[in-house]
Amino acid sequence: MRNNSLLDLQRRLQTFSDPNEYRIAEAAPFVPASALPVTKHVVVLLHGMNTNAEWQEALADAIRNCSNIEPLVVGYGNFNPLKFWFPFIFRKGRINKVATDLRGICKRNPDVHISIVAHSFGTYILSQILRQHPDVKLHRILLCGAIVSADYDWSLVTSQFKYPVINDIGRRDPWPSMAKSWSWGFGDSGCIGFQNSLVRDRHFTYKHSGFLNQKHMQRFWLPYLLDGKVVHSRFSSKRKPMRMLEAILRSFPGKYLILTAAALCLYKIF
Amino acid sequence: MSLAKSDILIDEFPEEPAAIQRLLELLRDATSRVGRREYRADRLYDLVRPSSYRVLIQILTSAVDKGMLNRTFRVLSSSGGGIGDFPAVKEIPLVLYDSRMGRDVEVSTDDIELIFVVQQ
Repeated sequence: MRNNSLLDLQRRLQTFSDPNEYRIAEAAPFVPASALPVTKHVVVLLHGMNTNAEWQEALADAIRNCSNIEPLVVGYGNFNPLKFWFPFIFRKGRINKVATDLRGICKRNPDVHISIVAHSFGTYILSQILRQHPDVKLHRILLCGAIVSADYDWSLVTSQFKYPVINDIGRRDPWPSMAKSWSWGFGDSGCIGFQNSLVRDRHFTYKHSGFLNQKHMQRFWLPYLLDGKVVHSRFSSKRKPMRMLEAILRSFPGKYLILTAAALCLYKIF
Repeated sequence: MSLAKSDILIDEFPEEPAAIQRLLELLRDATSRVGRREYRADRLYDLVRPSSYRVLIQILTSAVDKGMLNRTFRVLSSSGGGIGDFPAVKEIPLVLYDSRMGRDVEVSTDDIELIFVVQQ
């Protein structure tokens, strides 16, 4: 039958739940094949400290449903809080492990777009890799629950990715501030944002891992990862400033308290 | 077209400033002329030159949502010319009366064009 293709298209469209993908699928048959994208795209998913790979698998599943794009899960194993707190030795090993993996992916896929989604400690690892390995070239970068310093100089690494970077911030997420207050090298960009022209800060009502759900990934992450479309969070413009007590607690210099306590202990012992 | 709408469009697609500028110029030019201005999606792809067709569809869809463009699926007669405009694929009937041929015809995707009309 001649009209089978129209019937097939109408039936196929009924299977789309994502309105964004629906509109693309609805329009795709009416353009020449030469206009469709051909560049392969790999999305690397980098987890945070002690988060299970569940969110990575969920996002990987969502990505697999799209054509021409392949998810790759990258990790560095379990990382206990003591190692996380201690500023030397332990972090370096994790950074090197992920760097080796990422550089391998870049080398094996020279003509492929490579994007990355990083959460929590994964964002710190990524920020260090970008600084230390200029050969790591990425397409798009998406951060959430970031513990990178808000002063991180993105202008030094702009040649390594297509900006803007997306930084998803959870309003009820205390961990970036805690990481900054109680340890060294970390920052609270996952609370206050980078406030940098190379980065788009998006604010949400979430806690630290609130981003890691299918709904958020479908609505906010996939449009960016697939097409560079920045879907704005309504909460960004509606949010209220932090209360003073909360701001003080968040900026409490816990690491110096620990150092003072340690110094006092040593003084008493010797 | 208001400046705010075009700014939002650029804000939404920060990787495509050049393509959006070309689209906005096209819209500006079209609105300054008398008469209805409409473009086929593949023609817009050539004129706007975005990084991919997927991106073009998203930019155009956003422009439709902001009231800058209208989108329509046009069914063409095999003898030439349109015989029906529909806002969505799901609303296109499988059989349609072709007023140019004087009989019912089965509609195939080959007979459909995606058209964007500039809002005056």
